[in-house]
Amino acid sequence: MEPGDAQNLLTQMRRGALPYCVLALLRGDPRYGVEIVRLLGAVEGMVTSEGTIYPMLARLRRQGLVDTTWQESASGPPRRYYRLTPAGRKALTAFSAEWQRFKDGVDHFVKGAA
Amino acid sequence: MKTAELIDDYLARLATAARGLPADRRAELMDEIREHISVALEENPPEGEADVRNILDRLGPPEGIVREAAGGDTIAARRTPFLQSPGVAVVTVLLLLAGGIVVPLLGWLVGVVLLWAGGRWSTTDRLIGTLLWPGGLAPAAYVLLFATRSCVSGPGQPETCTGTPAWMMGPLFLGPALVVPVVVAGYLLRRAARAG
Repeated sequence: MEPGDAQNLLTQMRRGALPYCVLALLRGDPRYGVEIVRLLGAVEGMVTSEGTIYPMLARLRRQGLVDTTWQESASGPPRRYYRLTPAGRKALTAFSAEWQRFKDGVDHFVKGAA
Repeated sequence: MKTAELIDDYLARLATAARGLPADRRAELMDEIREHISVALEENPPEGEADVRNILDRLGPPEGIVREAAGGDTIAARRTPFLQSPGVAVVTVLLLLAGGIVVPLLGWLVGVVLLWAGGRWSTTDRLIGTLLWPGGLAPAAYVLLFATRSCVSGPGQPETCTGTPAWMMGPLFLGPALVVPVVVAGYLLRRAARAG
């Protein structure tokens, strides 16, 4: 195991977790693209290239986890708003539970309880 | 205005990088990135070139965005990128046009298969390419190269001819048989270029 492996692993994990972070951001009110991108960017290291969020959102839409509506904006062009579907909500709940279990499991060793 | 140029440049790079994507996904991506840029500009009106550059830099390199759009979804990918490449389009048109001359029938048929398998043409285009002109230039070429016709007539007997029918050796057949495949070939190439 190389020292650089941790970096690779974290990159992969971030890639895997990012869609669920997006689903979580949509737990409440629908949100539009720039808003989602801005909220994700508030956590350092979550997003390197903002543009890649859009294909991810499109994929979530194709998988039936989010759907989109158009809303007129007072001062500008209409915006696409994203929101969770029931399937998306279920997927988020399932991930939440798995993530908690995983986090507790790793912490058990890494934080030295064992 | 320099800022409009920056944005157009970026979107042009994105369109180019996205050539390999299925048409609907490419259009969707272009729309979404365009919307992102205009919403970002609306929320934070740029005070200069640097602000616009900042928005585009944060979007990230177009190639990376396209890579994300292309990956992770093997079921939805409808066509292999290879069959959409411009080189294959040229080869397809050449085979349709002249394949039947080099390898009779089979050469043209391979062109037809590639025409329908490739991702760059609409169904109308493909029908045009297949039906106008079946065999491409091969039928005309064969008539010109190999057609023979001999007629025998004797006293009091009607002329009897064997070989290639007269109508096939005449301009009413040869004219369209030579011109139509070439015109259709050019049309197919132009449509393929526009699809990219």
